[in-house]
Amino acid sequence: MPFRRSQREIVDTYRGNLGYFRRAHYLRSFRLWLFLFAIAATAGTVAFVHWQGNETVFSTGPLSENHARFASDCAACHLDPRTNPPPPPLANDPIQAASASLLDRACLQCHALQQLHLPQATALTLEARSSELVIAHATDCALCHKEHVGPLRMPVPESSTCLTCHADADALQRSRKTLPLGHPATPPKAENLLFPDGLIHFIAPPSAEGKLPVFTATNTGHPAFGYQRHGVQDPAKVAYNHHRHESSDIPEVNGHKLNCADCHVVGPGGVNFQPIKYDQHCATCHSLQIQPSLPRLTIPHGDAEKVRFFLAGLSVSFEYAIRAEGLTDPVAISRRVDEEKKSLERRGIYGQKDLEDRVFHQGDPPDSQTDRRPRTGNRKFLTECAKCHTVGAGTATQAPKIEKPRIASRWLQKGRFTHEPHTHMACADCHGAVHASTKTTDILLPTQQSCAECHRPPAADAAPDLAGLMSPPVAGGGSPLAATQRATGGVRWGCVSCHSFHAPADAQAIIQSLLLPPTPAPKAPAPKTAAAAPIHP
Amino acid sequence: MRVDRSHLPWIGLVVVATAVAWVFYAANFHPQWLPFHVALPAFFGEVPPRRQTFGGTPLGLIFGIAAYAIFFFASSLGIRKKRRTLPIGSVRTWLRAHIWLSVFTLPLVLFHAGFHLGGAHTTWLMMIYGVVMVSGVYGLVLQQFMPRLMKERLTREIVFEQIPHFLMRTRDAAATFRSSLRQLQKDHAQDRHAAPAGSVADTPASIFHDPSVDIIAGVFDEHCEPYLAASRGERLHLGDARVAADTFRTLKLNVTRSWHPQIDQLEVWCDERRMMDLQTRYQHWLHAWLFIHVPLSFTLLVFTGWHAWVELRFLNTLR
Repeated sequence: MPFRRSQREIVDTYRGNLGYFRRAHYLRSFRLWLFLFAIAATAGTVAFVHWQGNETVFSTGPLSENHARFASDCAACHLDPRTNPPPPPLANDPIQAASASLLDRACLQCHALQQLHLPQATALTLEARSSELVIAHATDCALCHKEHVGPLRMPVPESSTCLTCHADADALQRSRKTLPLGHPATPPKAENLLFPDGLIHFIAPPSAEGKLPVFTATNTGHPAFGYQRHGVQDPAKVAYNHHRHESSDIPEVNGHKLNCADCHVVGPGGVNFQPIKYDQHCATCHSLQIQPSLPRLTIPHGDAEKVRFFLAGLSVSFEYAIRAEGLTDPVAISRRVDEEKKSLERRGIYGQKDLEDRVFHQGDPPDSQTDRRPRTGNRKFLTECAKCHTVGAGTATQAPKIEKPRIASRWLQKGRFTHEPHTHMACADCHGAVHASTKTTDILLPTQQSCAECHRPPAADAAPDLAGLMSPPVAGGGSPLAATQRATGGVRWGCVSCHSFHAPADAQAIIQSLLLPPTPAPKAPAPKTAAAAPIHP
Repeated sequence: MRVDRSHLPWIGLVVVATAVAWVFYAANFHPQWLPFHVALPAFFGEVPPRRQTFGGTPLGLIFGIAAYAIFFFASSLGIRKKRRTLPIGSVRTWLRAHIWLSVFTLPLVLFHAGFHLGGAHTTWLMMIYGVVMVSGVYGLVLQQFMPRLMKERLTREIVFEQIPHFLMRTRDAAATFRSSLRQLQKDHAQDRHAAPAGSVADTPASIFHDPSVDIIAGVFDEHCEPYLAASRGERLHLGDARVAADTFRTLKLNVTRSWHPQIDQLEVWCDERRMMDLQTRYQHWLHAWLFIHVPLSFTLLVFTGWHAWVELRFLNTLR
């Protein structure tokens, strides 16, 4: 129903209330009160948070499990720049110059000496042999180690962070510094060196290019392994013929034909191999027994001087061996020793020199000049040292010099490898060249390209049913799983699967000692670290 | 404020500015998104930033500072409205700028945050910002159709602040009307007591007394008076226009014609009351969003300043 009052009549009702705008209307009053409440609540919130001193409200996300204990202590990592001025830069210091970040310094409070990138770790250990060190600085921890992204363990750095440098030639060049060491370098050649970790490492000669290539994945330009370089051979000083040891005439050992695992026993955790020892792996076939009638009397192995000493006192050794058989009558023992000596003479060994020649160089019976090697079966009664070792000439006063074998246990210096996750494969899947190898100089390790067959980003159409493919390796050919992995890739292809970013703390200590200027202040003696120990050439 | 063709330049400005901001954002943080290369100033640092942060980068800070400056400007609209005579542009222009620059803060804030909520503090900040923006947009949308709706449904609009006064005047008039009815009822009762027995007055009172007074008084007491006095009348009997019309039509049928003008008056008062209620409801719709928008805008302003202060302090610890 429309109004029947006119606007004029309505306006007339305003009379007596013309000052309405001076009085607070309830809506305006309510708005004002709300506004005042907002001011009070806002100020109260700000004041309360600051009074309480708990700054976790500003955290951009929960801390990882690794740093959970700092969850309520922001200042543990977020150092106050006023109370933590940057340290004075060291002269010509490629580390400090790039490591001025306050956050990095906070990380280094606990994770000391992590500024260096790994690749030069080997070079640092070999610094006595190099004329200069290439240093890649590990700048800005937070680039790779993402914090405040979840309460679980801190995620493993993604390969993309590595590729920010390794896929960019300019970035790669910028991050590399060269530190001269002030002494000439030793000639570049492949060497097997005993490292302070107790392992013999294969050290490849430096790359001819001298420059790290740019790449984006394991199968697209990743540098080849050091031992793949042209002309590089295994420098181990021991003669071993893999092909020969697989021959059909080789007698069975422990009830079976020789196989890889009889000699190559993986180390703890599947990492590296345990050293091959004569006593464990060779003595069964290659006995050092000197007299057929005294089976327990064997020539000592491992030290030429000891061998020489043993041979010089062979009569005494005979006597001890005879006594060990239970003979106690001195006269009978003496008679038996004489018989053993005559036995030697019957074999053409008339004196110390003949004895040493047989043991070190010829074996017994000695090889003819025309039929020295190869032999069919172990026809010799005594295998000479020179059959396996490089034996020099002896003198009247010194035993012949026998080169140490130096069989490398670790071949890859910049990445770690473990056999443990590879047990579904046959040895020949990666070491296929073994069967045809006749020389020790043959390097029988897989190429980087071979690794990248499985360890690469997965093929676009790859969706293998891995559970259905799990099966033990079959003789001479690996498992279906391995074959599928080769075909599809997608097996742990991230950089950190093989590589560690940071150089070991010991290597960091070396570089720090090279960089630190001499100071007059007394210094505490540096702890003798394993990495700082000299390398055995 | 109605959004009409006069807003087109502002809309164009926001669209262009958003496009430019997006190009800068993409060029700085996701260069692979762009089909062309944009050479950013060296001041912007690494492209893309290797730390995968947004707000703390130079461009992120520019976005954040711009958004905060717009927050300040938008908040100053209230002051501008209070000082209408200041020669700094018309309030209309300020309101347009308030609307469209605030809309432009949406891409700025999202680019500043990198489309992430962040931690507790920034999440709260983003929620407050969201509520402020949504309430503002809600208010703007209401202003597009509410005036037309009010014009159509409120045949007589009253100054909103005068409504309580107007209703009070109506209640006073109704009370006067009821007093006159009461007086008539009282006079009639006295006449009955004063008449001698056996006289003409012995005839039934209904023959001389008009029963309309009692009927009208009954309806008034039962429906009209409570309705006019109620704080919220829409829930009462006469709050429904159709019921009210039926009530008064029935009332007219039961009283003498001479009372019809008074009944019409009563109906007008009730209709006016209903109209006032409707206008009050519309006014509440039209202004209620301000109860959220204005206080939270202030909170947003303070919290954003707090956020900037804290984050810059933390940013300083990363360098």
